[in-house]
Amino acid sequence: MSASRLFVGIGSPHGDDRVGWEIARRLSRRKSSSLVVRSACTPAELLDWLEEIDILDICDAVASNEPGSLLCWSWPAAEIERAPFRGTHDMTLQAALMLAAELKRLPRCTRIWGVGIKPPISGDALSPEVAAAIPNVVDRLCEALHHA
Amino acid sequence: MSEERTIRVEALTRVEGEGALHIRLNNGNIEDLRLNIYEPPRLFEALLRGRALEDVPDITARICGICPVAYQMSSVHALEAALGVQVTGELRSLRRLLYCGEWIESHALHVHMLHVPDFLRYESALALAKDHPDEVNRGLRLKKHGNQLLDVLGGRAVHPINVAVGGFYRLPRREELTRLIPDFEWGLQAAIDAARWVAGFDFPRFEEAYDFVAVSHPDEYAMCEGPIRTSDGMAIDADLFEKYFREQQVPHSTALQAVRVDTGQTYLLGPLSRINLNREQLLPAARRLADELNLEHPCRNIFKSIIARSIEIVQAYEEALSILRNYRPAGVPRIKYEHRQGEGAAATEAPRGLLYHRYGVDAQGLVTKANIVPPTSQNQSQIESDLRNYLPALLNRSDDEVARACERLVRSYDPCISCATHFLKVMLDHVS
Repeated sequence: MSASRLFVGIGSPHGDDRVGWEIARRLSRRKSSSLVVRSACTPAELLDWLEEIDILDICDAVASNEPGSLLCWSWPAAEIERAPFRGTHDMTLQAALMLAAELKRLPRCTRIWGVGIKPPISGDALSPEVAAAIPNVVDRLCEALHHA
Repeated sequence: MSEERTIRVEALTRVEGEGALHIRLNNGNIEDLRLNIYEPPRLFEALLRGRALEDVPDITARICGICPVAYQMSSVHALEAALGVQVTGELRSLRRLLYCGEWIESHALHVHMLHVPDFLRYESALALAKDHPDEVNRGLRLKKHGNQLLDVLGGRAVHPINVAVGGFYRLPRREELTRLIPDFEWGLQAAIDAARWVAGFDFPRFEEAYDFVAVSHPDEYAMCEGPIRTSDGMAIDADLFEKYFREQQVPHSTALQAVRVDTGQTYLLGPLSRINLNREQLLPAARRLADELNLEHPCRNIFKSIIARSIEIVQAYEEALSILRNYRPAGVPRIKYEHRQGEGAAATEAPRGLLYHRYGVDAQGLVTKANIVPPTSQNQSQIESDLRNYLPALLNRSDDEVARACERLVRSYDPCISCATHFLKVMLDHVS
């Protein structure tokens, strides 16, 4: 039996912060039967979706001087605690993952993908740098998801 | 020699939004006490002017990620009053069902993740989860049920998009609702267990002569409709809200505060007010539970809001189950209406308390004026009043303990500062 896999793109309608949603949208077009793709406004939403999931991939924007760059961490990883995830979410991604881990609800394999964006965030569209990088980011994610 | 103390809570935690508390004491007397709400103004009312009235429910839902349904319900009811539309029957039941979802989601989150840590002396839900994983898991599962209702009825769990003036854009199929029934049957019992758990906590002895204010309805536990009642016997139509309740600006807050016009006094909104004023209208399981838990009637201890909130989760599950079991979609998703010039107001019960909206619309269906009075801004001056009366019993404690006790009191209100921005840091200065 194949593993149950969940991909969650976290974001908001604001500028480059929507990159997690955009990647989820493109992945859903290519998705395999065992991959569930969701979009979330807040990391706390993750806690509702973890039942019977074996592999969890999360993608969020991360402040960076290299817009469009892709970073990846496997949970648990000390550097995630220091990762500069931004947002006004009611529970940080780190807190949601720590709570899920404490409650033994976190899948055996959890990866966090960070797409670099350069603050400040403005407007409702992606910046040219981030928009141009998305196809490559999606390809790399598909490759990684395929081999998970 | 005089002794001055200033206590500051720089950032109140486990509340929705950002604010601070500043307390200045001189020889044990409170010289200054300010609940500072410093989130920037949201300006939604100005943003709505000139927009199509049909846009209002989706725009106002954006005011809050925790209680968007409340904003949608108050806005559609106010606009329908302006248009002379009355939503009844199946559509009315579905609106109550949607509101049940928001009460379950918001109350379960506040009780389990934000407020219980205060009573069991944990810094956070994460620390609570280490020792009480079953209870935290239960809270998360209850919250999930609320979100599921928002998802099915509202189109998505956060900022739903299916509420329309006159009804809904789309009605759910029967099986979309009936498949939720087993989870909600489990949830009803789990909510009863959660209420019994929190009722066993130790509560600070603190009682105030509150003026309770809530929407009431003779035939049901009020959510969307009914006159606004107060504990001193006043009952007014929502249309008269601004005649009897006044918003006022204070220098230290980006949220307007509110008082009663006739007395100039503060008043209390939220679950404690609703249970005190509407206890007779609770459904059987919730009413039996309130009696079993010996919740005083009226209860004047704000810290026991956690019990009232937990009973309301039971009420919401009970009502939701009834609607889920009886739903037979038959009619149209929304009532047709003609644009006309008019003005309408409505008050509905957000999880945190009464939420008032008033709109003017023109013959082209454009919004000409808007006024939104959220529950947290109305409760803000009551919170300051509570703190003034609660503080004297705390003064022999350390600054940290005083700050924690004050935060705990504030959290009893489940304030939504982003809505009110309109909150939270505690600052306690000692100067000697």
